[in-house]
Amino acid sequence: MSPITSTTAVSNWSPVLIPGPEWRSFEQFRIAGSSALEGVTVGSVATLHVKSKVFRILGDSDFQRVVGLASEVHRLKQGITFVVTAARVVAKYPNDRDSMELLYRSASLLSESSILPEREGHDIFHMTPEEAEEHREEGFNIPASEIPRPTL
Amino acid sequence: MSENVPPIRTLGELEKSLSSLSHNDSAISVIRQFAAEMKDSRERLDVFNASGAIVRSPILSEETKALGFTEPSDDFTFLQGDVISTESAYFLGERVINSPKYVVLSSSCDLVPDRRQYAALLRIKEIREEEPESRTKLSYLLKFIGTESMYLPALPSDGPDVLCNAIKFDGICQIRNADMALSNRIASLSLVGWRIFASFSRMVIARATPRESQMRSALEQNLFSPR
Repeated sequence: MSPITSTTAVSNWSPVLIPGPEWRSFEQFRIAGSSALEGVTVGSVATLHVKSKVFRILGDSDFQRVVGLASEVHRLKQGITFVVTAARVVAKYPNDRDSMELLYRSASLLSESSILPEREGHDIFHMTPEEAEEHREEGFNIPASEIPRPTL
Repeated sequence: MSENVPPIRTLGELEKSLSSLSHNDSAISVIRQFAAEMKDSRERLDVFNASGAIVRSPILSEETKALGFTEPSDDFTFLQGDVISTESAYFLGERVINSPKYVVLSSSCDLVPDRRQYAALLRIKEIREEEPESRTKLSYLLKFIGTESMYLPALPSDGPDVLCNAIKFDGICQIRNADMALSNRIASLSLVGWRIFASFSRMVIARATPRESQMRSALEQNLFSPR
């Protein structure tokens, strides 16, 4: 049997969120105004108490990371269930070599597989040298700051 | 079907009728001609980057309801061509992180809640000032020359070094509809933006050279002829 190798594909980001601003009532939040939300920095979660309910407020980038990771965990769940089932079989028949092999292989698959690969954003927009040569516009060197952007 | 269209009785006649419709790329030619008639890239930037030109604020169901579109089938959360940001989409089995942007490829009618489980997305690549040939890429995209990419202006939420965006039609991403519902909806396409997008999407899926048409016709020359 080959040793179980650790995967490098699993996300390096972990959902460590620190407490941000806290408002004990909606009135307190309202008086603080929109500038209060500036305290909800990346990686922090604000807390808003409204009567008997508690709401958590986080920036969209953190929210998307949490949802993305949850989606990944959802996919992983199937693999873990498989390993747990194999472990149960081993617990029931501890001397059965085949069961042990099954557990080992399923754990290896989970560890080595590319179940959770990630890519860091989209890759760069490519042009061939020929295309660049053909479409280069003489004197067109506009800085980004001068390009108009539509208002949404 | 229009009453003026003669009845189609054989597969041969059906092929003949479809030949000018199914793989027609005249929509792209119209877009390219429009862009080509402008003086230079600066003029194209003024036209395509104007507010409401290609992109607009996300279209809300409440807005269309107020205009009388109140039938159950009019209800929507997302529309085809919406620009979104999410970390729950997959490209070639890999989850894409670092706040990537996408445009929704699936038809609006397939994005209605509970109708489909998955949606198709296309990647949006940012062209940044410091990357090689960045102005050439901008100039190229503004002319809508490539068949694999469509120009999108830099959006207000983009970084200050972003010159423009490009929708890539090469490679389709997948997302669960339930995850897409939680994505950040950044913008919708304007009416003309949606038409340009559909022209590209259609052409990428069903594009053919005249040679392919001739080749296939030659192979089947006698297949549908009357016995």
